[in-house]
Amino acid sequence: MIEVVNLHKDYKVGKMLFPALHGINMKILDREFTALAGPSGSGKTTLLNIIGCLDKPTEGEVLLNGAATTRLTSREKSELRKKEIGFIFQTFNLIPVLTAYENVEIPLILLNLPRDEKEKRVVSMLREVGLADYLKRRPNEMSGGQQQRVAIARSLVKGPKLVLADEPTANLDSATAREILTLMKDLNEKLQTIFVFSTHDRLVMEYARRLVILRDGRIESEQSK
Amino acid sequence: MKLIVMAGRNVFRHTRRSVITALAISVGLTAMIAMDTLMNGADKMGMRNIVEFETGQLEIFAKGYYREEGAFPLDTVIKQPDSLAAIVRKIPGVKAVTGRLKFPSRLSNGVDELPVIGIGIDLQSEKTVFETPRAVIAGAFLDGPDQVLIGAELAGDLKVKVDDILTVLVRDRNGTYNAFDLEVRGLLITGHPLLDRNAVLMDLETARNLMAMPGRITELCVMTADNPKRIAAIKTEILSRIGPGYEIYAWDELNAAIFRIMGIKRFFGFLVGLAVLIIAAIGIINTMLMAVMERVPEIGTLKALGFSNRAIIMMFLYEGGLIGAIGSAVGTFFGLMISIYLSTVGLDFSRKLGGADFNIPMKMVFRGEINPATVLLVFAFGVAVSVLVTLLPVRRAAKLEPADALRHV
Repeated sequence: MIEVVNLHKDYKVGKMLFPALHGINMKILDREFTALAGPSGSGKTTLLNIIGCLDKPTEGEVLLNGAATTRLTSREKSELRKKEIGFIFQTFNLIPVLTAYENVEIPLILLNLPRDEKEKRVVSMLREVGLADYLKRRPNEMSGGQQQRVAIARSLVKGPKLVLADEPTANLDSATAREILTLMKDLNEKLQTIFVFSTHDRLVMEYARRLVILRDGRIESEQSK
Repeated sequence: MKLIVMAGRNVFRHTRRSVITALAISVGLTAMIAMDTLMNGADKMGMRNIVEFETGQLEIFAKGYYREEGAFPLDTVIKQPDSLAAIVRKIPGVKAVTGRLKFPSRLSNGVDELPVIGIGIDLQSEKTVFETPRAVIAGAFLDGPDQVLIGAELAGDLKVKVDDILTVLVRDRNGTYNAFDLEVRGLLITGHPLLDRNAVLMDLETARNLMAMPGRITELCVMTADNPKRIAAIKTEILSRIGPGYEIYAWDELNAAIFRIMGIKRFFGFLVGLAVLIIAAIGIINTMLMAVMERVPEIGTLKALGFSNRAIIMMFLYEGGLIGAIGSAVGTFFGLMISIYLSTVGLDFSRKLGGADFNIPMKMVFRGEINPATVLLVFAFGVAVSVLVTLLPVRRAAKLEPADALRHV
C-alpha cells in the first residue's frame, strides 16, 4: 500500500518559488490500477516522481508498505527502486544502443541473478508483452508501440510491487494505446502489481479502476469504478 | 551482463563518438612517442659522436691541461706520448689508444679566413679509436704530410673542394706566427659540429712541425673493449699506473656542459610533449563531456531503474577506460611504427651543397632511438587521462536527482 501524507513540492527557479503540489493526501491500495489525471501543470508527474523516489518533496511523506521513503539516503532510494519500483516513461526511455533483450535485462544486472535465470525472465517477459520475435531489435528498429512494450517488460521483469507510468500512451496512436492499456491491465491482474499512471488521455481514464483528478497541485476529485 | 559489458556495448555501438575520442588520444600519443624517439636518437647520436670523433671513452692529459683546455696551454702537454701509450695499452680492458695534438689556428682560402681548431692525428692509430676515416665523404683519408681533412660544411663556407689548397695559420708554441699551405685531401661529415664546421685535421707530424712541438701531444685518447659500465674501473686502473703527472677523464665528464644542455633540451621536449598531451586531453574532455551531457537523460533512466551513483560512475569510467585503452593502443602502435621507421631507416638529411664549382653529395641520416619505458608510460598515461577526464563530468551528472536528470535536455 502507498500512503501519501500532506505532500508539498515547490520548484525554485532563480529566486522564484513555483509551488507544484499543495498538501496531497491519498492512499493507493495493493493491486490497484490508478490514474492520476489532470491538465498540464496540475502536478501529476511531480507526484509520480516523488512516489517513485525520483524526486524529493519540500514537505510531507510517502509511505511504501508503511515505510517512509522521503528521508532515505540516495543509496537506499536506489535499492528501493532496484527491487520494488518499475517505471514506464512517456518517451519510452530505452537505451538506444541496446537491443530489446538487453534493455529488459538492465534491471536484472543489478540483482546479480544467475545468467540462466536472467535469460528465462527476460525472454518470458518479452513473450508476455508480445515481443518474443523482437529480442535482437534495437529501439530505432521498432514502432512506438513496440518500444513501449519493451519499456513495460523492463519495468516488470524484476517483479516490482509498484509500477509508475508517466503518460504511457502520450506518444502512441489510439489503437496502440488501447493495446498497451489492455496489456498493462492484464498484467496488473495477473501479477498483482500496483499500477499508477499520470495521464490526460481520456482513454487511460476509461481503463483506470480508480481515477484521481489533480488541478493546480491539489486533488480535485476522486472516483473508483 | 556486467557493468563492463554494458560499457563495452556503449563504446562499440556509439561508433562515431568512440572513434573521435579515441582518435584524439591516438594522435597525442603518436606524437609523444615519435617525439621521444627523435629526442632519444638526438641524445644518443650526440653521445656517440663525442666518443667516436672527439674524445674516445677516456682522455689522458698532462696534469693541469684540462682546467685550462679552452686556452690551449701548449706548455702543459704530454711530452712522452709513446711511453705513456705503451703503459696504457697494457692495462686490461683497454682496446686502443691514439694521440692528438690540438691547437688554435686560422684557416684561409686566400680570400676568407675562419678560426678553427687544428687537430693533429696519428694516421696509424686514429682509426683504432675513432671513426674519422669512415666519415670521409669526398676525396680520401689522410695518407701523409701536407694534407688536411675538413668538414664538408666548413668546405662549403670556405668554398673549397678536394685537391684545393688551404693555408693554416698559427702562433706556435714559441709565439711565432707560422703558416703552412696544405692540400684538401678529403671532406668529412660526422654529425659532430666540431669536426664538421670548426676543425682542420692533419697528420700529427705536420701539426707538430707547424706548432714547433716535436714529439708532443695534448691528449691521449683511449677506447676500451669492455662493457661501457666498466669505464670508471678502467679509468681508476689507468690513473694508478700512469702516475701523478697526468689526469684522466671519462667522455661524459669531459662533456658535462653538453649533458646539462641535453637535460634542458629534454625538459623542453617534455614540455612540448606535455602541451601535445594537454591538447589531446582537452579534445578528450570535450568529447567525453559531450558524451556524458547528451546522456544525462539516460543516466536518469538508469537511476530510475535502480542504478546507484557508484554503478553509473563505474559504467562511464569503464567506457572512458576502454576508449582510452583503444586510443592509447592505436596511438602507441602508430607511435611505434613511426619510431621503428625513425630508428631503422631514419631521416635522411642528405643534400647537395650548391656552388658554381662545388657539388658534393652529403650523406647524413639521423636515426631515432625507441625508449620502451616511455612507450609503456605514455600508454598508461593515455588510459589514465581518459579515465580521469570521464570522472569529472560523470560525477556531476550522477549526483543529479533522477527526476532532474530525466528532465535534462
